[in-house]
Amino acid sequence: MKPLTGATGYAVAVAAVALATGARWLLDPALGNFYPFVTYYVAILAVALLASLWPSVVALILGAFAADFFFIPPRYVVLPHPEGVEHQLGLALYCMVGISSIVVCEALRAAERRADLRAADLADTNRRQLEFLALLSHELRNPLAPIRNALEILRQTGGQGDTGKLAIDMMQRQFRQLVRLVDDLLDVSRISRGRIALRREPVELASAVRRGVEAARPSCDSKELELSVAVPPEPLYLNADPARLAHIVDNLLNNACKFTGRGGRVTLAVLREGGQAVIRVQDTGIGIAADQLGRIFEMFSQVDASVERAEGGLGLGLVLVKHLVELHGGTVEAHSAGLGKGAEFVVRLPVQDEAFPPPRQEPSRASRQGRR
Amino acid sequence: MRVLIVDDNEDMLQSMKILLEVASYEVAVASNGARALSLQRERPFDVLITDIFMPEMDGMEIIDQFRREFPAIRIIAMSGGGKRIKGHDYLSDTQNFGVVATLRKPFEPEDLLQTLRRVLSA
Repeated sequence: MKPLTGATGYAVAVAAVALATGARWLLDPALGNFYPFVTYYVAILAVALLASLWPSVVALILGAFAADFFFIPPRYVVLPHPEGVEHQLGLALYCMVGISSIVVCEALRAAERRADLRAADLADTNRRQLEFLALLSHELRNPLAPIRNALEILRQTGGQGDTGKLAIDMMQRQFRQLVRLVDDLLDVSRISRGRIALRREPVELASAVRRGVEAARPSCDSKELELSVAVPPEPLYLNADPARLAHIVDNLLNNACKFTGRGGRVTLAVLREGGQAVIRVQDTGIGIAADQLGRIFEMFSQVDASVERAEGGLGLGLVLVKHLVELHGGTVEAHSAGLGKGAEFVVRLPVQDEAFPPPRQEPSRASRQGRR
Repeated sequence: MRVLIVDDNEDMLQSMKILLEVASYEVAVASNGARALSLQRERPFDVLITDIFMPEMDGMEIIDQFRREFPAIRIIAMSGGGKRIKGHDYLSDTQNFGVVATLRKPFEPEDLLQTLRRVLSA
């Protein structure tokens, strides 16, 4: 229940104290000078339950003055130090119990607010997951449509002639798209269960990067993007999983190409900064709004972005990148000057210098499960 | 009969084109709305088959533009759009915007031909 605040809260505080005074007045023939605070305890508790903090404090103070004025002898004067040790103790007890009531009620309300926030959070996560499922079904259906058509073409042509070959190529391309989706999905499922294992070995970064570039090139070429890659002349050695390094580069480039319009430019640069290898991917694409920058590495964050909807894909690439980079002990950051201003992703990974130690032994079961 | 197909997936365009040409339709394809409109202005088509979710011009916009500029054209909408995205069944929604038939991807090639025949004979 929401506590009463403002004028209503203070009105309730004053009314409660007035009621308590009336009740104590009715009891006066029976109680005499004993228990001047008895009805005020109830009033404070009621106000603390109904109203917010400050009205409760006002009720507490008003109650103290009212009891002092009406019921503590000498009556009809307010004495800051009532005569008689029993009344001084009574006042102290009243204050203690009143303050405790207020504090407990406030704490209850704070707990309630936290629970509400958490429930809203869970509902939000749930909604995102449901939307993700709808998205997933959409993305899985999309490549199936041309595959079904190509199958019909194969049936008609027997796979012969130019048309037959065309159909086979189509099926291969769309099949690869499906495999990519399913792979991403598997990886994300492994991430959420913490089951991705690295097969680390001494890796020359440039060669891993080149493999990632080759994997991503078709999707950049299909949009006639200018893709330029710059690697340093001297080799950079990392203790890393080469397949996963290539995967990081592939995903970053795919992301850059996806969000860059026809004829745009995507640049990848590898350089060394101190003990770190830096992979920098820049594009001239649609950029990232400032309020989205912090969220783009989160799972299902792109479900809401209509842009992603139109461009296709599940929006899992960056989630994977962040996770894989962090497994390697590195960091990834996204920068953008805003929508329409392009974006830049910077991955930093620790360089392994000196004579390379032998590759670390991963548990054999985990390494067998490693991907590809 | 002249058919114009719009989809952002090149393989989808080419495979539909081949299938419809075998069924003796005259087919043109466009990978975006702007291209589709300029083809239509050059020489009008009888039927437009358009995807719904596309970058650049969205399927809904394409439908809207065609409806206003070429009221005679018959429009078929197609999409893989699961069942619903964000609480909307966009594919069914298009029927409120003057779309005469919808195809949910992936569809049987026979359904495509039947739908076309039905739309053209109506």
